[in-house]
Amino acid sequence: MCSIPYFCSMINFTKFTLENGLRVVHHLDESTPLAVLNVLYDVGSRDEDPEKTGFAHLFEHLMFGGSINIEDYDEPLQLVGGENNAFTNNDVTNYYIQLPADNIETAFWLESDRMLSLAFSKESLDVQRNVVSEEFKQRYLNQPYGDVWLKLRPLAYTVHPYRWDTIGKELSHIENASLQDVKAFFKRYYAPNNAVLVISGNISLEKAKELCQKWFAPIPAANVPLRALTQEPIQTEARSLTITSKVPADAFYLAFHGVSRSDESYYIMDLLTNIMGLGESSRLYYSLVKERQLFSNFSCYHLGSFDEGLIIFSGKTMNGVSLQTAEEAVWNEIEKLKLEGCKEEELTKVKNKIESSHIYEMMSLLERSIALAFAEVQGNANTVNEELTHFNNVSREDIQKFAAAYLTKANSNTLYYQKAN
Amino acid sequence: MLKRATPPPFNVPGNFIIPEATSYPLTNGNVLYAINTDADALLKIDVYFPAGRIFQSQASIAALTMDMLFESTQKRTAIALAEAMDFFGAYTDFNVRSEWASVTLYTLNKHLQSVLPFFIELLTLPAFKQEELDILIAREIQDLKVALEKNSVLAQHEVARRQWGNGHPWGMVPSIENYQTVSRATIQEFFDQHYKLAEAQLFVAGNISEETIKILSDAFSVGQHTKNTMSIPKFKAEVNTGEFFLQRDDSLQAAIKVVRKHIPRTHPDYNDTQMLNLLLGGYFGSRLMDNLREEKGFTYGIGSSISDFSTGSEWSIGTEVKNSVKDEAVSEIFKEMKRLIDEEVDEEELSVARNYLLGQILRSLDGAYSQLRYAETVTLNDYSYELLYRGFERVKSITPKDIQLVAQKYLQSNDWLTVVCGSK
Repeated sequence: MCSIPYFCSMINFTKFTLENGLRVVHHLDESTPLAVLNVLYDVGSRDEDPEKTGFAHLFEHLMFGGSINIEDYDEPLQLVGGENNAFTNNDVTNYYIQLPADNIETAFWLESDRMLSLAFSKESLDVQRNVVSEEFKQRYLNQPYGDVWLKLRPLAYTVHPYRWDTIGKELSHIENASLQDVKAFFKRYYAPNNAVLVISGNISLEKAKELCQKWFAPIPAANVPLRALTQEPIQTEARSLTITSKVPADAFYLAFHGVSRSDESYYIMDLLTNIMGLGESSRLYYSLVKERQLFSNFSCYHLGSFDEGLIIFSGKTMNGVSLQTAEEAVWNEIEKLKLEGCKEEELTKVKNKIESSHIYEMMSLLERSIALAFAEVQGNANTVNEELTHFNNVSREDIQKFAAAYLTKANSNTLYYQKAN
Repeated sequence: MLKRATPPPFNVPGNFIIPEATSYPLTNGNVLYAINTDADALLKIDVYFPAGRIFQSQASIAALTMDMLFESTQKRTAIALAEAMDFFGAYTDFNVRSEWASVTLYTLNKHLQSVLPFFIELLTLPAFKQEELDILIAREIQDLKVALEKNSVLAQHEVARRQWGNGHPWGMVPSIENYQTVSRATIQEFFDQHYKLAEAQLFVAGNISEETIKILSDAFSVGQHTKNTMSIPKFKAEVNTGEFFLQRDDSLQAAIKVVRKHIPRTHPDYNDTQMLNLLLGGYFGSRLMDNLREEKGFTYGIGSSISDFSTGSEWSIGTEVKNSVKDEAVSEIFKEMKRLIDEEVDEEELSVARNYLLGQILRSLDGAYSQLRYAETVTLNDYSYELLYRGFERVKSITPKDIQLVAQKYLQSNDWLTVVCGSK
């Protein structure tokens, strides 16, 4: 048995860069008959034009509408026993394929062709505009509380593009997308020098290199614009918004600006939110849901964004509990943390939980591949192996200091989601 | 010159090996099934009780009994128990299915000995405090109110009611009125009858040493194990078909469910209908997905699946579509069924589905936790490894004619129940 789990969960990898600027991470795992090919493009909804939001995500859908030399993306992959999916967030767009390791070349063939060029079919755009509109309705509009992020983001962010959600500000932005917009977006962002490729599983390094040379090396680099996002000014005054809607219970959302993914305090922020809101023994769940029964559920977490992200406290109140009472109770807990800090056992507890959940996640080849891609696009794939050490180094003082600095009224954005009578 | 239009050669995965679980007899007569890998430091322990929804005499009792296991025990408050387990980084999970209910513990090997006593306490000594039950029910009612705002949930409840009837445990859907009449005594009785640790089915996967087995055996050898079979209560099966509409004002989208009662896993046609399901709506390349999403853009997604229980299964198609096209969507679903009845699928379409499924089988056998699922399927359902292998072989040998035959048997429109929830 391995006595140092940190060591056991070390992910071995090799990095190399092609001449066209494509960064490649190779991770060998001979214990599986499978392989993963993960392509991460360094473009997310934060890179969108404020008048054309929802575009990065719409574009993700269009990536499945056929490429320059391959009419259909999904079918040839299914034919070799593979499956794929993709996701877009505010920071990146990520595509992955899982398939039998024997058939890895099919994944190279498909991914390189759509990096080279899409087919840009009018029909595909028409259909995917509809599909994404239905996704917008299903997830954001036709659901109680579904529009929370469409309201909370513009409250918390005044200038940074995090002020809109990945789905877009409004349906019309998606409905108005033209083929010309699509082409321009592709040209700007879908280039080898704006991507990270991860090859993992039962594929030798030699094979990986050979296939990269064959399929990806011929793709020309592009002039990718340097990212120059307007940074959010430091918030100096509390903001709030009240929405009245046909929902069965009042809900409370409190958002603070936190730190970026690369900030050294990131791990402190993560542990702090776990102490406050992860699991049944967390502070807020215990005191607000179980003991005082003010909320039917409560959570505290952060968004994990690359740029300064939000720390969220949220819950639905119990029938008869006013939002004011609920809000006061949340603030009492926050003030208590700032005043007294946390206990040593509490900190050890959340560190232990992170250790086991990290090990759990890293058991999956796909999770490992995505984690490597995310770490590499932010500058260093090896971050995946350093995380547990960073968590271990956090002290009680760090937590208390962070709470005092960030969980303040001046840095707060409160959304009262009230049920209509 | 690189030929980008030509697909690279490939191999179809074909030789599958299902690692069988090792069984370790416990001193009380029970058995522990283990899937051992030398790599994974995190253990997964699954404890199955015959405590699924089939045994409930009132809606939500099976689920509430399970929820109450995570409240206070006779020795400790809920918070003290949660803290004790959280301290060692343990995670728990649970699942209440149609017949079985399971509780899962994830723990690092190094903490097993510390965590296990708390886990056993949770499974065996619940306090069932009235006050905690009241709070739980109030929360459940609140959550139910949110759920009932969703067309998909309303449609699902209607399906359950129509499919099984009010007298059947699976036809009893949660309601606020029902929650208000749940008593502590009913929960206690359900627990006493169905949560007997000595009769539980025990499984573990991970890096298992002799020491691990010893710790687990000691902890689980309680009482006297007598039987390993589940006796399922019998109910009169109602068959309800036809189309039903639920009105919800101002719906942007309508929820559609099309379902039928279906044959059990052991039936000779079962594997063929799994392939038929895949072609119809079981994966991204399926006909329904192609038609309703990729061609018409009616929906974000549509899916079809067969879910098993011991005496049969349920075949269910579900989607949410633009409200204005709901009628057209329903007729397209039946049109696709009709097409599978009338025409053989072509070889090419079948090969894609077949190879996709073979790849999925390969993925489903990767890793200790996945392999444990196979061991559980075999053990819990009186199934066998031989039948599993036969199913894998059938994927390779099935022909378009075979598929058409089962389509003619099982896709007849008058055998299906349709529920639509949306705006007129």
